[in-house]
Amino acid sequence: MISPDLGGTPPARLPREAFVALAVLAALWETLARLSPALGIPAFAVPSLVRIGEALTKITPLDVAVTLARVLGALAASFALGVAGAVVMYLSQTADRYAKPIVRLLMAVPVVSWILFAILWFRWVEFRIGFVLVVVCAPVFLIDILDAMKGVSRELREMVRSFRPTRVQFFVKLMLPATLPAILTSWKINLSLAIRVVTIAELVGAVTGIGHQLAVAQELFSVANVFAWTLVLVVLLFALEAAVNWLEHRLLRWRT
Amino acid sequence: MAALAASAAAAPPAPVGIGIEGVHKSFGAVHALVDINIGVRAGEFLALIGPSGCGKTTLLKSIAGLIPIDSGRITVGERVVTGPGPECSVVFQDFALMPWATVQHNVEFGLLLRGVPAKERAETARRAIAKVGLGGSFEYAYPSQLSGGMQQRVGLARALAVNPQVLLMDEPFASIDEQTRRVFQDDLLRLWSAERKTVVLVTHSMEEAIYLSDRVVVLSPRPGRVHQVLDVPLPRPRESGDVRATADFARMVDGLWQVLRKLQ
Ligand SMILES: Nc1ncnc2c1ncn2[C@@H]1O[C@H](COP(=O)(O)OP(=O)(O)O)[C@@H](O)[C@H]1O
Ligand SMILES: [Mg+2]
Repeated sequence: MISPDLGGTPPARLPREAFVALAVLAALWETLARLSPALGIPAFAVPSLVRIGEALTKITPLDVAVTLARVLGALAASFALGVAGAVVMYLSQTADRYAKPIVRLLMAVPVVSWILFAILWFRWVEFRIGFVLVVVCAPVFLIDILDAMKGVSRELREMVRSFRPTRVQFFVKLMLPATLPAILTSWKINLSLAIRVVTIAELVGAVTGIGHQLAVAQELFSVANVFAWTLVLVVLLFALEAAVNWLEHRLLRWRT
Repeated sequence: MAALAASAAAAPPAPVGIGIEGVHKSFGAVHALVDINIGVRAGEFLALIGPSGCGKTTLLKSIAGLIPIDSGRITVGERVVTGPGPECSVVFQDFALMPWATVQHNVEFGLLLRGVPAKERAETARRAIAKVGLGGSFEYAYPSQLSGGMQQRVGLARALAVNPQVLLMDEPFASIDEQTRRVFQDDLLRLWSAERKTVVLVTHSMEEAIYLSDRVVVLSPRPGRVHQVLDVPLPRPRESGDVRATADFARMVDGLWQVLRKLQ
């Protein structure tokens, strides 16, 4: 079986090509930084690698931790809502038919609109950020998990039914292990989604977090700081994906 | 109390009969089963045969309580079937093993759902695994690491582990190669003589139906009806002798073929 690997290769095992590509990219950047005065580009626009390195040393761990906590908290809530919704829609055709269009509608709304709604509707900043993340991620979890449950083979379902399970047993002993691969894949998709959305949500109103720091860097015209915080975000995402990959490796050993 | 429970688990419960009376089942415009009447005797080995799409699987799953029937009545022992019951175990055509669970855990599954304690569960499953000839080193293998024949042995062990009175098998040997199939058939007959279960076996193989069963029910397609019921008076035990080589066996297979060819 092919495990769906969504570009989340753990950074610990970067192939040589990746190193070369990154090195070339860094060299090009540095060249551009050196040449910028001659090319008439303002010096602050393309800071040298040294400047970016300095900016990296000033990264405040608190902001990273706050953003991480927001992402993980909102994803946990989204997952719980997604599972609950998927189970209800799996059990009831009626619920499925009524809720499906609503979920699709939610998924079609642009993130920016959600952020504006959040600002207009809610005063508490944490709630605004949480709201935006959950309303973006929960439908994705729901649809992924519902699809996976509907994809469980008729024969397996009949086999389990022939042993007269309780409803809880049906979900815990069959649906959970049968959909675990899809659940883990959905976590990877939602992690990258949440990381990208949280920063935009934090741009408005938050006084901590990576998004807030990005806004500050922008006010200071510090491209080096924007670069450094972006780098932190990317590394954070890779680290989280590596964690899910590790879990996948542990839990789905039967697939190898 | 414990002694009683242990002896109840060890001694197979008395086999029960199955009554199928005036059963109808349609899927939309498709009349899958029309007025089916069959009495399966307690401890009997019954084969269901017929062209593809004649309703064999539908009938078997109706007995198992997995498909609701439109009208008529099915009884297993004293119980009128309205859903899956504790007397019946099903062996599925494509094995229906959980790919994420080891052989041991697959076989334990029915016991797990019945709330049997872990230790007893493990022992019962191990016995069932040995019974179907899989004992030894396979308990910790995953289904994907086994051949088709071995996977179906796991499916059979899972069905036997809950000590059912009725075994319902849907073309269990269809996706298994010929040599393996013959060995497996003999093992099944040996198990059946030792445990005295009522067996309903769906098959599309005439040799298999004659070799294994006491009676063969021939279903005709569109709509699915009972076309004919043939007795198979071949002596038992068949697994130790060379029944397949006898003239009687050949004659009966041919007799079945004469019935089936007219249905094509
Ligand atoms: N779930 C279903 N929905 C619609 N039609 C079905 C379904 N199951 C079986 N049928 C139809 O009922 C008939 C009998 O099917 P089945 O019992 O599977 O036949 P067999 O096992 O003898 O090949 C076929 O025509 C099949 O297409
Ligand atoms: Mg069939």
